[in-house]
Amino acid sequence: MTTTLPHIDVLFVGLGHAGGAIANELTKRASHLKIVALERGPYRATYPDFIEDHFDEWRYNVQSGLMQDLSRNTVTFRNDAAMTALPMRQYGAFMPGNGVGGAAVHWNGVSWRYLPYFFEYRSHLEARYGKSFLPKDTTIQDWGITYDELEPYYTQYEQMYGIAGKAGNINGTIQPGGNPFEGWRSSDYPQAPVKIAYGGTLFADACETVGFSPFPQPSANRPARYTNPDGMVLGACNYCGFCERVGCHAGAKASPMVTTIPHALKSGQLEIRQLSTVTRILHDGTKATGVRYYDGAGQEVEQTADLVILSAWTLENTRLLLLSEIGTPYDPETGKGNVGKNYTYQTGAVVGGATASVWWEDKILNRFMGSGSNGYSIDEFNSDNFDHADLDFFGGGNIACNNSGARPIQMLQLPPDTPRWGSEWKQAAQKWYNRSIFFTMQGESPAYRQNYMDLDPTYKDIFGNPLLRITFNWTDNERNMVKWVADTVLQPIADAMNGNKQKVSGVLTDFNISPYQSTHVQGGAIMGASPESSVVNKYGQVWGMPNLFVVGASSFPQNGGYNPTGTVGALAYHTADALITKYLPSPGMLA
Amino acid sequence: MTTPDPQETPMVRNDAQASSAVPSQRLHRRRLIGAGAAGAVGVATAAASIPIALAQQSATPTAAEASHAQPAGPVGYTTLSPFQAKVLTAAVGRLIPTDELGPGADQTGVVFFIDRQLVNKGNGLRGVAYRQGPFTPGAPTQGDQSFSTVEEQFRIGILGLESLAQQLHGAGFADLTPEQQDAILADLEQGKPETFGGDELTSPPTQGVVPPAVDPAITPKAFFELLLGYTQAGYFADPIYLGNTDMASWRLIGFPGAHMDYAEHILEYGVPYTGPYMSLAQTQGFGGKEHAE
Repeated sequence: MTTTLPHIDVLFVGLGHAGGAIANELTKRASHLKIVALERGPYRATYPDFIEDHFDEWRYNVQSGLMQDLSRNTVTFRNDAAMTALPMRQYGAFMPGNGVGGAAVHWNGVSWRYLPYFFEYRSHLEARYGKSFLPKDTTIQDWGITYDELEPYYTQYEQMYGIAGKAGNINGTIQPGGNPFEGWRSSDYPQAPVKIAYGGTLFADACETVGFSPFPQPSANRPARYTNPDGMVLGACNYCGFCERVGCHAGAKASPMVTTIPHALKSGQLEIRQLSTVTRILHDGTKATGVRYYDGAGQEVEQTADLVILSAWTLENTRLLLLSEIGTPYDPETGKGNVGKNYTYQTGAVVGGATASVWWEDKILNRFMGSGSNGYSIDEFNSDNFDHADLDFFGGGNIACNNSGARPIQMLQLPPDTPRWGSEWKQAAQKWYNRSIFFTMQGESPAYRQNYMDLDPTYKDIFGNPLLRITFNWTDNERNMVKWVADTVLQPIADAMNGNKQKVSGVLTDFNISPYQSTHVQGGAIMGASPESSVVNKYGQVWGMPNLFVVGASSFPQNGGYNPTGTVGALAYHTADALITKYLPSPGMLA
Repeated sequence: MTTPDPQETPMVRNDAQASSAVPSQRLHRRRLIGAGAAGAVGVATAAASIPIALAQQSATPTAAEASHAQPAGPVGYTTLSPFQAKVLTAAVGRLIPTDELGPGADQTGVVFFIDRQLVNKGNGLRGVAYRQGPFTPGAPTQGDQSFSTVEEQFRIGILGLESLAQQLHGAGFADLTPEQQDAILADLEQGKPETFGGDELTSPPTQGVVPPAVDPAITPKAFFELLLGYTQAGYFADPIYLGNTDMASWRLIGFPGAHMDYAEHILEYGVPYTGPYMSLAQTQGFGGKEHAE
């Protein structure tokens, strides 16, 4: 039997980084609204969950303590359509969050703006290199929004989260010490850079030796206590080295759980229903009417609402659109349909990409001190910041040395000639654990015709609904990019470090779902200028269903050479502003 | 825009102010512990603060430190049989041996760690697993498709190790020489034999025949990777999980453990950190000399 609950104004499906930002703005600027958020996981916050805890690599980093429960729902995976997709039975290349705050509870805090031309990427590349330059299978496209339109919302997001960094371009004037390639920003970062660990400075010195321009990597960890525009106070970072995959014990890593969501709750307008798993968006073809979900007791519930915001992360956003038969599923053979199209990732940030390590016998690095985003970067080889006319690839990536800690189970980094076990391994562990650094390219992930998401024909979740199926592999473009960057950029930087041992790697093999690589998963409900090329418009509004918005990285037509979280935040504030100033006064498709 | 105050770094105040509803008792305890951690360099006893650089030369804990990590009562196996524990102890002791650098996995509770991870049939190494069928062997890029629980994977693998020892040397794995044990483990790592099936699974002649393993996904290579993964995890995980006795692995490599605060040290480039080694047991207030006095 299905329970039907009283109608409400606004319904969020999932409440994390994007949903939390929008819900908070609605409570501040539309005080008449009754808002409900359905979240499949629990409410976990600094108090009482993270405080004094989470310095536990086994429970959180290895056993994936904060992540989506794969026994209830996972994805299936295959490299290409000729293979049979099989379930990701264990983590895993990426780690979807679980619970209020979503993946932004366990993120590291690396917070970028995308490059201005990246929002018009296809137009930019075709104008510079001609229409025949791009591989024929690539389906990259313009976003339907410009950097200039988004800039105020990047600023708003950065102030809400207290991002720490050094501006490189304020209103068009290049700033010494910042990123000379970044888009203009209307003001500097809200906070100065964090205290950067030794390893990052060795990387920066080597970059300068080679002739590059290193700058502090922007960070949602903070050098000092910070009060955001809502009056929410974030703690100072203690550099404990436990950021990624855990909750911050000091309330110092910006997340929805120390900014937007607790602030929104103060309004009394927002009700969060935990342990509630949405299975369908209800609609009549032109209008969303609400959702159907299972509550924590397994009771099926229908909740109607005037406005539905789908903010359940890339994978569930896409799966719920497909399950609910909203829009047309993408067909890779014909190219028709857009739901599930342009699944993209992050090229080789940890394994199998352009990576480098250097070991010194005479340097103690104290690698265990650090924070999620703590290091220097260079941007000379990101995206189209360098001339590709004579290269056999397009795109690139940010190159950084990030000191996020050195938990020993997963981050014991030994020279390539070391045996994997036995006394020699032990000697190497003792000698090298604290005497090495790692740096890497966070590579761009272009979209291709053959990489997409749909519903699996065989495997089901705990409620009997089909799992999402991911079909994905790298192409020669990324293989060439990784090799060129490793040989041309990483190798000279590694050489300039004058270590006793080094390893530079630039071989991208087939994508493998098993080893962790990156939780940067994009696409499926992409944005664009027209319904022919996209699922949502620049506000995240579903074409043809104006009271349904889909927000988060599912809207990225392709992924840049940066972590996506900053851009997810900016797009969320852009959507929030449009809802409040345009949609609520006059509901309908926004121009 | 709010101007940051670079002087504002104490962790305790920041945490308290980060929440609008701070339970006062919690805060009080937090202040004590935070102060203990931050002041450890200055106030800890000499025994509790062996500089990490020195500790790397001597992995043996002092008696005062060792007492922190001792379980309160008797410890026994809850999922492994004594036979299985004996084989595993021999195997993990070859993967991470006890040698002149200090205790290995066989002497730091790693088999107890594995034993506890198999409770209720166990999660996977990376957490809770999806267990719905059909189970089909996949491509190497599609991850583990075994239908066996982790408990069953260990059962099959241990029996396989023992079978190989019996076949090759007519003795149990635990009774072989270290060189013989290493050779078998090295074969497993290289994927030899290809399966734990059929004739490979034998037991001492007096014990009759053991039916072959039924899960083709549990190959010798797969079991080696499982065993190495759990062995390294148990060796390096916090001692609250019963491995890493006396934080021996952390002392070996110089990882200080569960520390809350390096804000005063992160800019001391190249200077060996001299704070104490800390387990979660100590941050939780159990047996930590740093906080008790």
